[in-house]
Amino acid sequence: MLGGARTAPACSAYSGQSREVVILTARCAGCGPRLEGMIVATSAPVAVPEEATRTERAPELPYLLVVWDDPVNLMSYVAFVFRAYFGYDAARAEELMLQVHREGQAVVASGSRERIEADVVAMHEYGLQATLRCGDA
Amino acid sequence: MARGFRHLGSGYVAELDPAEARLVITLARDVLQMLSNRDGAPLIEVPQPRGGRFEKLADWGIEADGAPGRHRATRRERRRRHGSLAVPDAVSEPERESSGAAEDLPGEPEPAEDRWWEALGLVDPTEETQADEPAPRRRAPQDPALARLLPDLIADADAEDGEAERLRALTEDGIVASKRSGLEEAVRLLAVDPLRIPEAEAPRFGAALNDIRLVLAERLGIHTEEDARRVTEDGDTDEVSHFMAVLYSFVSWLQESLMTALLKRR
Repeated sequence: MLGGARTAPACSAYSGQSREVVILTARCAGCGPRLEGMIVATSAPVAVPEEATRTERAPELPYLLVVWDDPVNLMSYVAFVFRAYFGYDAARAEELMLQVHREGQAVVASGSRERIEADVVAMHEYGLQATLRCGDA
Repeated sequence: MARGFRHLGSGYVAELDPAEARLVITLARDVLQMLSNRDGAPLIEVPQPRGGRFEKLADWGIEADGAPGRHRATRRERRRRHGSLAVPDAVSEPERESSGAAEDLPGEPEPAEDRWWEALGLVDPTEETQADEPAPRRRAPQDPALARLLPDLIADADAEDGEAERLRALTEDGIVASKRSGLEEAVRLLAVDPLRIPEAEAPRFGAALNDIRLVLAERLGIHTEEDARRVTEDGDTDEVSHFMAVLYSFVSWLQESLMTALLKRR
């Protein structure tokens, strides 16, 4: 929920799928300044003052969550975190953990900038080495 | 002799010797101290660790009378430093005001073991608090162990100029708070014998053990798989490094046993 569209230009070359989004162009009461410019998917109803919004087609930002190999984190722990946080099943979690271990890094999730930032924060809270990456980089 | 975690009732139970539980508590407290040095927040009151002094050091392959091998800031110096950390003006909760003085921190080790923790030197007394850093940007910690707990959110190759610092400014306090609450809860759980982790607490307890291991690993210079093998298999380092390596192996074993029990359940 941080950063929002302010740093989106790094991903501007992406020309993938589009979807309906609402762009909050002004601060709404009770939201706080962080919501300025943030992109919110319209899949769920969002209560925003009408004069503060406009609807348009915008690219879905292809941000990636990269988890890096680390000689300290136990393989069992990494697999556990993938299951507990992302809800992956045992086989998927194991596969991703082994990819991290063997290839040095793996893309574990993708999505909007806000979503992936939140994922990186969660990985750091768990103690995994993880970073945000622009999908077309 | 310790016995690893097994599922029991609505949680996970392990059997640790009092000295073993005390060691893990002390490690958790040192990591809490490092995090407090980062954001300026005071340490909470944690229970007095159970058990006696390090009379069982010999069991860990350590001579209790051995002197620290290298100079680190003494605990008294660290106490002074902690005591001098300014409590932010905005802080008004009474418990915070009272904890500004660090002279009688609970769970402070006895003098005999004090020497060992000084020698271990997990806490870097030169690390500056970042609480007063201007909001839009925050630098990464200088202490490499703290930097391992709080890495950049974006790799250099992927980042625009200043992006890592901006992301850190927005997120670091939350990550520190999360780690702190996990470590504090771990200390509370470890103070009770036998060690019982409720089902819902298990992920957070595992993360707290992981944070302890990240700090120990950095102090042991573990950066590659080869380093990890060297530390866990070779025994020919100096006593302090050997003790730290034994601690690392012990906490690793404890975390692995919890993960095994957890993954069996899922």
